[in-house]
Amino acid sequence: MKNVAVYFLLVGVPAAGLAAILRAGNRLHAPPHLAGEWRVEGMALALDAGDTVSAFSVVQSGEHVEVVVGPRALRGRFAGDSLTAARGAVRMDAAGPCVAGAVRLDVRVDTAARPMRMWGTWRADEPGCAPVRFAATQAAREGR
Amino acid sequence: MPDLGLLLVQIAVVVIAARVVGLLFRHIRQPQVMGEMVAGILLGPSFLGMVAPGLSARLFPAASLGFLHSISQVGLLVFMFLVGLELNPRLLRGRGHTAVVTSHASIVVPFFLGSLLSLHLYPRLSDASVTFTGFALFMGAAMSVTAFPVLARILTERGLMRTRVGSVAIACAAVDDVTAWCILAVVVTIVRAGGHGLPPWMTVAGSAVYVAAMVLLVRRALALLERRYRHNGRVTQDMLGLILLVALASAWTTEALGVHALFGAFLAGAVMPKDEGFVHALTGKLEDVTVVLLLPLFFAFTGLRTRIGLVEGAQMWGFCGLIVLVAVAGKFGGSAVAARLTGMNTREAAAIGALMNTRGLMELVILNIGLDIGVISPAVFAMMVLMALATTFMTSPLLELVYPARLLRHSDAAPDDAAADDAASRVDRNGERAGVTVDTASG
Repeated sequence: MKNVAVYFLLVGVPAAGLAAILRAGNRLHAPPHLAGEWRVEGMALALDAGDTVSAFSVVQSGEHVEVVVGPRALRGRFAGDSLTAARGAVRMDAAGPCVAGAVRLDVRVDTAARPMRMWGTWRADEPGCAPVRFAATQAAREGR
Repeated sequence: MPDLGLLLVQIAVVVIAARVVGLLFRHIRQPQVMGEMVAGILLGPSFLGMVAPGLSARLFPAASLGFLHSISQVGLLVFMFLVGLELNPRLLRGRGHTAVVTSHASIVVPFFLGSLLSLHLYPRLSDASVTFTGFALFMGAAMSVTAFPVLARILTERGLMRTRVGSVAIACAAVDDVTAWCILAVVVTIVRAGGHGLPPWMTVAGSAVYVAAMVLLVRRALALLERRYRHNGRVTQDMLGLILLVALASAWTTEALGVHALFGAFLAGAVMPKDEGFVHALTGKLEDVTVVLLLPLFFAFTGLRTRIGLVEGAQMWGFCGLIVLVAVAGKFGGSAVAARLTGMNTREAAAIGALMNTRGLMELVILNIGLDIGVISPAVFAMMVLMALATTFMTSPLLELVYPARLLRHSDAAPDDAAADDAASRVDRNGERAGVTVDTASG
């Protein structure tokens, strides 16, 4: 009898609790799916002399994102429709200051559009590096 | 076509790293597999890619990883077949109420806590392409895994296989292994629903029919192999070829049904004859190359996709700490409380909890499936890998702390230890590496 009670307490109750969790969880919302490849619209993105980018990718873990532009990886957050990512200065051979210096990305994402679009600015924290405006379209979604 | 020269260099580097780090971990009284798992992480972006990015890019260019992945998956299929092969139904017989309640609680409690944690993690670390149900069920399944092979290794090394604690722990781990794979099959079906070409009802119905056919028909047919083995006194190359064909066909079938190839390989091993001599002979033929050569490739591949750098900042490390905490509380706590309430003393119950908390390679296998089907994000994958390492690493010291070996060995022997003796004898005979469940400590 005692074992039946223990079984009910340690197996039956959590199993019933699981059903409640699944019901409550289905009301939760996770951020839109940004992960995958994004293609720059129009002209390739000219980040520095001789350094152009026509596509980049986004690695997403919920609201935490990593934007990979060539060999550069910028980490940041995605909240609402705003994505902000940054990276400190790094040593990069044969790269100009507008690429190797600290950089920051500020974009807005149209999550309702299919495919999704983003537009915003790439800013290098170096004198003489003008902000670069760009827009991009989600080309391939990562995942299943 | 793969660059054969590069592939050979990659394999050599992986094997050397696995052996060296594995030996180092053995010196600190940890299972070798723990070191092999760490070696994989060291070869990935979390270490080599950070300290020597140029070398890392030359050694493991992204374009070459597909081949490494394919080879490691074949190794994993053989390993899962061996895990199924070593699964002995005798482990489950005559273990009493303690084993039944503890094994079920050690699955349901961590599953419940993992799902509960998902309420907090889902909006922050997942995205809208994954349903909450899929995410929560996967987290629950990943939390409830026990590494049966590592557990058997630890019990054998400490001479605990024939004690009450050892026999209950090994029986619970066997139940956990089967249950976790069944749960995961359901989760994969839910997450992949519709996206794999087959409608979900066909996946469910097809899987049920396939499992029934394997257990009721194929298992009987395979009994002929046991008779053949007794007649020949050895597993011939023809028999081995046939057995591998069964494993590969089973893996292909479950993959085609939309579950996962690894389930089929595990199922093929589980329905194989369980004669001790046959299992030992078959394991001997397959195990060494799998464990020494192919599994380290899986660890390396796992390490190459584990980016601990994504766990950045106080919030992310907080999530990671929470995952480890919930994993330990669910598995250690659930098992220990159940064992205590069903009649074991406090020390024995804590020892059961410490042993059941081992996750090892089995966790990495499940996490890789989760990342492949997109149900967990790269950051959650990294956190869960850290949890797997932490829980595997803590098993030996925690066991020594809660129930020192000198006390455990003097505890009562289990009443029916035939199956445990089988497992222990495989280690005794081969010394360093015997039965996959026992001496590889891969699990």
